[in-house]
Amino acid sequence: METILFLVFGIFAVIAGIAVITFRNPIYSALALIVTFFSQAGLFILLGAYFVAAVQIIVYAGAIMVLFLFVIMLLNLGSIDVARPAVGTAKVLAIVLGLMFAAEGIYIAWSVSSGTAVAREAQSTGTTITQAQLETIKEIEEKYELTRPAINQDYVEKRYNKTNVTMLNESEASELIKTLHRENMGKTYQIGSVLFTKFLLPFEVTSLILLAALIGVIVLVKRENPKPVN
Amino acid sequence: MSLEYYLILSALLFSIGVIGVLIRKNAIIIFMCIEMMLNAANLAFVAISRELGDVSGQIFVFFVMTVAAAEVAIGLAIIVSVFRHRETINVDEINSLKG
Repeated sequence: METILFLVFGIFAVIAGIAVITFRNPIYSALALIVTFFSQAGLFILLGAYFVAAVQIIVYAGAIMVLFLFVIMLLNLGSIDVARPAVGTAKVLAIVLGLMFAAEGIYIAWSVSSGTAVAREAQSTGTTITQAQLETIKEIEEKYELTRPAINQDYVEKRYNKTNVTMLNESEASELIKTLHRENMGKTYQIGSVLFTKFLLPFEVTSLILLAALIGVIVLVKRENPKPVN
Repeated sequence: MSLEYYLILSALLFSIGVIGVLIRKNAIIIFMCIEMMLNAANLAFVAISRELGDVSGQIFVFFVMTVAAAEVAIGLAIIVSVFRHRETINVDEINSLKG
């Protein structure tokens, strides 16, 4: 099922991409680009990135393409090169070089992921202590004769007040943690918990970027001599 | 689907964008092909983020989308200003900074 969906979205994206660069009328190109963005959102959902897919549809297809369409209609160009000119050497060379670039990119993508790429282990979210710190803790426990209860089923049931506790061994537990992490990684809760803690500085800088863009656009589009109102 | 298919699709979309930037004469369509290239990079980010189990790839996609939105706004404002001045947005005719 995932293969079929990937093929459908992939073929839609590629055909719409070729349509963007082929149509003469810029409105048709913009609509083809919207199809590309929606296929891309479908691919994001297949990859488990649900928040990013929603942001793609809202920001790209909903705001950026609307801006493009407004500007195309504002400039009111029609089809610029209606009479299709003879295909010059520059265009042929551009297509040939572009195809060579595509072949090179595909070769790199294939060899990177089928040969030498090693998947890192999923990052654990707890803190780690060094061996020296562990030794210090053991010394203090011995010195002051502290005891630590054994973490077994009775302890967990009493401590957290739950029934039906299943104890897993270490490898099963790590597999379960990995599976849960992969499934929940793209959901809004996880994105938010990382975005506002670990990536807080880029987030705030992004707001400054948007402020700069806002001021820049208003300054650029302002007319120099407003018509006097008589 | 394993990682290499998503990376190949990303490379294909990126190169379609590159061909579009090289071929087309309309400044707005060149801009749209640049957006397509940014999208291809986003797809590569998210595919590798799923492969490595690291959520930082998707966070970076969020920032790329924000910066792309800001860039589109400013770029289209520049194109509108150029059109007001030169009455054309054919990049073959806007090839000198004189005037």
